[in-house]
Amino acid sequence: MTPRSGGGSGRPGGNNEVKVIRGQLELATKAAQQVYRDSSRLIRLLAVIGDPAAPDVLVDRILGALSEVFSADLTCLIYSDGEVGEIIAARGFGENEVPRLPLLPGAAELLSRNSLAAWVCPEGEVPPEAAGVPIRSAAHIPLADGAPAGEGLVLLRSDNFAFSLGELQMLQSVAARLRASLEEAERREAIERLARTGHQLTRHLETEPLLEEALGLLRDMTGAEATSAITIDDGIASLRVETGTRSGVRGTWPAPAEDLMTWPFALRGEAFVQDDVQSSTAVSRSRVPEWMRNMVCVPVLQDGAPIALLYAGHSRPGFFSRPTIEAAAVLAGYVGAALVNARLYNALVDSESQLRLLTDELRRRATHDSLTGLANRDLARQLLDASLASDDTGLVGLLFCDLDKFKAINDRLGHEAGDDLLCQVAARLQSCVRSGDLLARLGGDEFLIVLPTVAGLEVVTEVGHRVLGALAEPFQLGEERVQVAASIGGVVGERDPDQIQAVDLLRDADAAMYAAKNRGRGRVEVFDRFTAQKAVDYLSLREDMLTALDRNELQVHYQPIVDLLDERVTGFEALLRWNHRDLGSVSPAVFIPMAEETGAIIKIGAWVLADACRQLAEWHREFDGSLSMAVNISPIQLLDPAFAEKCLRTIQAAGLRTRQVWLEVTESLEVTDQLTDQLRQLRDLGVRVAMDDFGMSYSNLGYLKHLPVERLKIDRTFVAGLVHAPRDDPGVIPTQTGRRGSGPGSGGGMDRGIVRAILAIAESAGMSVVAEGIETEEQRRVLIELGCRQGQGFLFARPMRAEAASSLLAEADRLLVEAAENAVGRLI
Amino acid sequence: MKSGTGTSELSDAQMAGREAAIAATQTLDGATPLLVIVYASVRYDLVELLAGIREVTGETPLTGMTSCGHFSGDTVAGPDQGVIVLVLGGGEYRFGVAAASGMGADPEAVGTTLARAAKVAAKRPGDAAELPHAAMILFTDGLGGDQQAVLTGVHRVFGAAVPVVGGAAGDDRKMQRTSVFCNGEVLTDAAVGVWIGSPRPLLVASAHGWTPVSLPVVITSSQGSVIHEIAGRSAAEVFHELAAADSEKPLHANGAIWQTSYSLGLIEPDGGHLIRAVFLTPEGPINTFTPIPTYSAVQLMSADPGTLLEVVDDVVAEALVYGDESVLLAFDCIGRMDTFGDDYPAEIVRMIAAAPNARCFGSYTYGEFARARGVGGVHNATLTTLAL
Repeated sequence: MTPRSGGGSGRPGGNNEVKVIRGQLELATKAAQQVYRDSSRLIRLLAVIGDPAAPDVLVDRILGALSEVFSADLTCLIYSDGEVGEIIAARGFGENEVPRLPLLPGAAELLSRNSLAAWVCPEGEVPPEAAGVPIRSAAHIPLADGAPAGEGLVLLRSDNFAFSLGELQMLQSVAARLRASLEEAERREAIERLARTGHQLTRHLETEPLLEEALGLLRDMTGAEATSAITIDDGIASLRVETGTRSGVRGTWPAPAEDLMTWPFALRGEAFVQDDVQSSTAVSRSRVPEWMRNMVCVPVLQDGAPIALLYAGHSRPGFFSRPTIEAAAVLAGYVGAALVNARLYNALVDSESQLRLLTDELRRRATHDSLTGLANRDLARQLLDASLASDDTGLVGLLFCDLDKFKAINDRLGHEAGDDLLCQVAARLQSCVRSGDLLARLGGDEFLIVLPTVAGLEVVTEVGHRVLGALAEPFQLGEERVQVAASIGGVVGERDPDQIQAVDLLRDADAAMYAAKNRGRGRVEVFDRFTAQKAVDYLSLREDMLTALDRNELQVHYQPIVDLLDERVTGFEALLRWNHRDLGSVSPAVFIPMAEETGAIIKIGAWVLADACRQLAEWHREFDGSLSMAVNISPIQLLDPAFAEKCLRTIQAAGLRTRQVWLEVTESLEVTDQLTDQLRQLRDLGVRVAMDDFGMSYSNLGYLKHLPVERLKIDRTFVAGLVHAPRDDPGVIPTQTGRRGSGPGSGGGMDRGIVRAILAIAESAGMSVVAEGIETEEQRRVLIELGCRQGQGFLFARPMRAEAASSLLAEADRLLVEAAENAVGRLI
Repeated sequence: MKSGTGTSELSDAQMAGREAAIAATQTLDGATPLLVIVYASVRYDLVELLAGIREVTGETPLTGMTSCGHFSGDTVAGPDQGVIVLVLGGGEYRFGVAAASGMGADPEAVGTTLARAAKVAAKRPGDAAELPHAAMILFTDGLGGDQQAVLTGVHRVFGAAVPVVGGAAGDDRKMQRTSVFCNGEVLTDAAVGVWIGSPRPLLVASAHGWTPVSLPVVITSSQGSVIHEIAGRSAAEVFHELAAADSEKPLHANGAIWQTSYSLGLIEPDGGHLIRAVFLTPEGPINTFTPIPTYSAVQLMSADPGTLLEVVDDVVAEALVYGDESVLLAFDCIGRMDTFGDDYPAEIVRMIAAAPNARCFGSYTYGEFARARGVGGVHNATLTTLAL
């Protein structure tokens, strides 16, 4: 007890004895106090260490507890590697102070060397300051013995009480436990982190980074000194990633998976654990580094089969605890999910790459002609639009090239030769354009040249002629040399996207090309805007022509053919009329050639014939069964070998006899064997043929001899010339020669002679004659005088709709009845 | 540094505050008031009391706490007795006051929060560089929980270089409700701190005068401020045995509810002790004002007026480092007052004698703070001081 306890002694000399005893008691008390104090400190610190917490919290707590139980002004966890000591965590520096270790006089290495040491400021030395506190006493306690580098506890005190050996031993014991506890806390935290963040492994879409992070987690969780990741593909094991402070698995990679000692376990989905792999005789150690004692391998499974192996190794036997291994297995589960994810992604990426290539190819195909490799229409249009929209000076030129008679070559030599020709043409055209110009194939035998910058029309013309020149030399197609020409249309456009666009220029160039073609093959026609516009209008109308029938814009009008003597209607001529939706009535002189150019005339002609036959049949039923119908036939229609047969079917379908229908052909018709055959066939079927506009073209008897013509129609110009100039008749086709009327000074003698000649020819050949364009009584009179008995013209009736013609017939009937009645009346 | 103090025993809170403040400012000798420290009995309407004081001191930063008595010079007031005001002015110090609430929930956060805020509050427009040294006066709700954790929070912010002095608020021994003051506010479950910027180092001193009277024992079961077992046995039983072995001292002198003759002393590294005053309940467990961790090695400590008085000279001498200090801030324990009995002013007289040139100003608390080395700094039955 304390010196104050107890009372005095009654015996002589007892005071001394009491003093001694008291002294001994005091010493014993102090010793006990020391022991208890140390025990208490130790217990206190161990209690802190044993309280589960995150590593940083644990460090903070232990530093606080050390400061408290050792009255240390500053406490730190440092890392020292023999050269420097670095503070990891500290207490006592305050928030605004960057923790720095003091330089201890006479013990500079104390805090940098990872070894147990204590220090007291030597007499006469100025205590170094840390955090504003003079440091007079220090101790450094490594967490792990013997390692050249590592973490350690540092206690700094402002008093000069040296740390005793006992205190250092106690601190050493605390440090060792702290280390274990920290490792445990770190592992626990790693597992928690795994639970929290393991799924984030799936963010890695590449295998290596994924495995690197996975091994980092594995190392954190297990405390392994080496970790390795091996992937398995088709039974082949490949070492992919290694981390750690020491070398991992050894050997040559890749290697058969079945050679691995861990493989049988992996196949069963089990972790392979060897507490001391070096002392084990059960396994092959060929791939285990000599330093490694404790080894764990967890398989990463996909659908129950191992796709990867994660290895962890440590130099201490039995280092990995069971919970640690279980955590590693959990990690392997996360890795498996992430690996599958990465593989799926990479497969997707591969397919996307393929898709990109395919897309590029499709894009190339979409913009290029597969045969010649030239740009196609779309790309040409894009470039044209870009050129028109650019800020460059100058104009944009465009040439439209259409090969003449390509179809004939193609038909004659076959498609392969045709393709060969197109490729050769493309190559030659390519030599005609400058760098920066674009040559495109629009399809078929059409080529386009875009000249992004030209000075004017003359440049375009020059290029056009250059193209013609390039094509002048014959092409070798197989054994045959072929001559090919082109019709070329050129235009220029100003750079004003608001005014002109690619589509406009293309249309203009197309029109110019048609103009060139119309002027004859192998020509260049270059249009300015005005000319182009006219041509375009024509082309536009031509386009509309194709659909006029479908849009019900076409009608058949009927002009009566009368007996010139009594004006009795003997028949009608069916005349086609086009009432355009925008332009109104379009002249047949304009649209009939269009219909012939486009081939639409075949369908239209058939329709006209059918309508006319149907109408005639109706009139036959209602009025007069002797009425005939004349229908104009285009030379194009006659190209159809089945034309005669089709005509027959149409006539018969209407319930008519073939003799009641006249097919009128023009004198300009080129006489070919096919044409002659067709007409003879028609004649044999009973259909009669009339020669329209007779006297205007060939006018030779030989022509008539070859054709089975039974009627001649005197052209209106001759009729008009019989007396004087007639009025215009917009409904009548002008002659190709442009002879409209006899004109001043022509007199009527010449035309009268011609008409007389025609009548004579007809008579001699046994043909009937119809005079066209009779407009005056005088003309009728002259014609009658000349012996012409039938005619048509405004004098009698204009071409009219069927209803009007019906009325006309009805009126004629009424007049006839009246006349008959009158006659009867007179007779009576 | 100039200072003025005033006291009042008026029953009306506002009047009392006003009277004490007027007296304090009148004795300030014309200096600009920089800090007002108030100790008051819980018998007052404390809000009214502070309002009365601030009618006089205006916006001057104010701090303080409820007490179990207080003193200024030789004016010593026991529990239930009035209010005392200290006004500090002039001088080279800078003061900043800040409070934080939530001691029961997170006392360490209270410490860090108030520490940061008080330092910021000390900054004045036009201040040149920060003064190189500092200390903190800390007042805490005396019944509010873990006092050490508040100190730990302060220590975390300031580090070892800033000593802390202060005390846990009392409530005239009622053990019901204690409060701290921050400007016009009366706060419970809170702590308030005064950052003192100083051109020279400030030192806090502490001593208790208790002596160990038993062999060391280990606390084998404790929970917060309640000790259930010592050396594996009932804590109260062991305590009584140890006390009985020492002498026949009364366990409850002067009607105190806590032990006035004995306490527990935590053995410190240097062989000294941190005193933990205890009070016993009929049910058995020993209660302390400050938690004692399980496995702490403690000794039964004994004290008598004589030994307690002896340490006063040392504490004062340690605080008066430079000799020119004009104010001695003292934090004395209600336990010491009870040990002294009716003669408790004798301690103050001794203090005044030891610091003849400084104005002694202090209060009786439920725990004294003196953090100088290490994190720890909560004491019981101890006298702690800071001289300015």
